[in-house]
This record gives sequence, structure tokens and C-alpha cells, in this order.
Amino acid sequence: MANANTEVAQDQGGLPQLNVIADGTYTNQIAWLLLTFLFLFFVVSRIVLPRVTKVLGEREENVANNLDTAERLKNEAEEVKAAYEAAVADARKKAQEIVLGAKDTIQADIAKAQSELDATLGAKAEEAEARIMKARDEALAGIDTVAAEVASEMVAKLAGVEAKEKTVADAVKAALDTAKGA
Amino acid sequence: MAHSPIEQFDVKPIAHFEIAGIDVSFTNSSLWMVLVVAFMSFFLIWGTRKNATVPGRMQVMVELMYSFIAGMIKDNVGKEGKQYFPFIFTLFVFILGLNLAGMLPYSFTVTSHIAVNFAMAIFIFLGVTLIGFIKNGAGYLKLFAPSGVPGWLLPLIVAIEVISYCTRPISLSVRLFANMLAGHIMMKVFAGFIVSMAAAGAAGMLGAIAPFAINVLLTGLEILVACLQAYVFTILTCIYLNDAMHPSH
Repeated sequence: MANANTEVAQDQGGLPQLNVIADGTYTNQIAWLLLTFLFLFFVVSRIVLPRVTKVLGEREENVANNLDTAERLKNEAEEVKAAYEAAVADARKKAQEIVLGAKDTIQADIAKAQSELDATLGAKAEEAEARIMKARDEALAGIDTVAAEVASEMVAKLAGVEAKEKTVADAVKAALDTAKGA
Repeated sequence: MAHSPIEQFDVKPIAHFEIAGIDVSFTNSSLWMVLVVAFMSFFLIWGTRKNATVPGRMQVMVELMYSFIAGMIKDNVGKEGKQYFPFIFTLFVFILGLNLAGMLPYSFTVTSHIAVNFAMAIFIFLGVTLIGFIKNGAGYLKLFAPSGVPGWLLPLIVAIEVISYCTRPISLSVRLFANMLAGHIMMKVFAGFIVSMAAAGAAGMLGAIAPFAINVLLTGLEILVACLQAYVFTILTCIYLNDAMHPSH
């Protein structure tokens, strides 16, 4: 009896894992393993993996597209920038040309006006000088007669001598020449 | 035996079924397989429901798993391994889910049973062997005779290679089984220490802090082991598949 008891105890003891054939639970474990694993396999292979594959592909494509767009926009922006810089340089060059042209015109105008003014002023000055010279000559020519008259008058009044016109004129002339010579 | 550390591994029937005389009862083991598969299916389907180009949190997790397994297959099997992607992915998700579910209090660790692990391992072993012979014909036998081995050593090497090949299903399943078993027994033993020490009065309660602290650390370790063993099982499957694809060493 004791022997039988220990055998029963040994049957029940030990790791349950190692008794699965004796107690017959291995069949239900494997059956449910098959069922659940197949279910999960179906879910994974039919639903989950296609979805993830699709979304990863889409993301990759999307990123590549975005990079392409960015590259294209960058190139466009650079083109626009180059065109803008060319336009600015062109405008600056034209403005400089206009400024230089205007300067030249103005300078030419100024020079022309100046020379006209100079010519007018020179002519007027010459004319005035000629007039002055003429007046002086006239005055100098008149002075002989006047001086002779004054001298004969003075002689008449002072010495009571009626001097000959010719004599007086000669004397005055001599005196004037002396004065001029001095 | 009420608080035996191995009581947690008992398979208890919940509803009895039989098909053609074979016991297919719904047990606590079946319950946890169903729960894990339901949760994982929900997680995977719900995570990818929007399938947005800019993903949400759940979608990122699913995508990370996808890239993780895709990378594993690419690195270990190569491009031809792509057709086995759904199986490898399912395998990883299934084992990871069952291992982690075993960390829940009062749960049942399905992968701590050699019957389940061995069924998966023998399926992989037979599948890989079949693929190997279909893809390479008799050339698959080159796997057992590595090139560059001197002739007199060849019989020994071939014997060793054949034995190591044939023990693959055993090593694959026992590795997972032993890891889950040992970890869960350890946690139960230390949990038993806490209870029995705390029952021994004030000093015992104070002393129970030590096994409690150890159990906290063990819990962390076991979560690591749960993930690691799922990874190991999956990557070994990939390596076996690689052998079947490219049998010459």
C-alpha cells in the first residue's frame, strides 16, 4: 500500500510540464497553439503587414517627392535671384550712364554760356576803351588851342602885349612838348 | 502543495472538448493564448488603422516592430528571406506576447510549457529542412560537410554536424522553456519567502524587505528575459532559415 501511495504522489508531483503526456494536456495545448497562431498569422499577413508596407512605401515616396520639390524650388529661387541681380546691375549701369551724360551736357552748356559771356564782355570792353581813347585824343587835340588862347589872353592882360598868334602857338607847343617829355 | 512554486504551471481545464477522441479542452493555457492573440491583433490592427504618413504613437510601435523584424531577416537571411517575413513576424509577436503576459500576476505562462515550445520548434525544424531540400536538393547535405575540412576529419565533423542539426528543435524549445520556467519559479520562491517571513512577526516583517527587494529586481530581469527569449527564438529561426537558403558555410 505504501508503495502505491508514493507512486501516486510522484505522479502528481514534479514539473507539470513534464507530465503533459501522462495527463494528456499536450494535445489541447498544441491544438490551441495551432488555432491561435494561425489566427495571428492571418491577421499579420493579411491585414497588418500589407498596411505597414504600404505606409512605409508611401512615406518614402513622400519624402523623396518633398526633397525633389525642395530642390526644384531652390533652383527656381536661385534663378530668380540671378535675374534680379542682373537687373539691378543693369539698372545701376544705365543710371551711371545717364548721370555721366547729364554731367557732360551741363558742362558743355556751362562752357558755351561762359564763352559767349566772355565774348560779349570783351567786345563791350574794347568798345568802351575805344570810346575813352577817342575822347582822350579829342581832349588832347583841343588842349593846344585852349592853352594858346589862355596864354595870349594872359600875355595881353599881364604884359599888355598883343602877341602874334603864331608865336603863342609855337611857345605853347614847345611848353606842352616839354611837359609831355617830362 | 498549496503554495508550491510549480503550481503556477498546472494546466487546468476550463471547458472540456474532444475532437475525434483527442482532448482539445479549453484550458488556462488556451485562455492566455487567446487573450494574447486577441490583444496583439487588436494592437496591430488598431495601431495601423489610420495608416498615416505621419504616424501616431501606436503606429510608430507597430512600424518599429516591422522594421526590427525586417532588419533581422535582411541581416540574417538576406533578400530571399522576405517571403517568410509574415511567419517570422507572427512568431516574434506571438512569443513576445505570451512571455510578457506571463509577467502579469495570476496569469499563465504558455511558453513555460515544453509541449507548446517543442511544437513550434519541431514545426520550424521540419519546415526549414523541407525548404532546404526544395531549394538546394541534395546540395543541402553540404551543410553537414563544411568546405576546407581535412578528409580524415570529415567523418567526425559530419557526425557532429548531423547531431547538432537534429538537436536544434530540442535546444530551441528547451531554451525558451527553461528560461521561462526558472524565472517564474524563482519569483514564486522569493514571493513565498516574503509571505512566510512576514508571518513570523515584526522582525520577520522587517526581514521580508530583502526578498521583496530581490523580487522587484527579478521582475525587471524577467521582463528583460521575456523580450530577450522572444528575440532569441526568432533570430535562431532566421539563422536556420539562412542555412536552408545558403547551405554552404
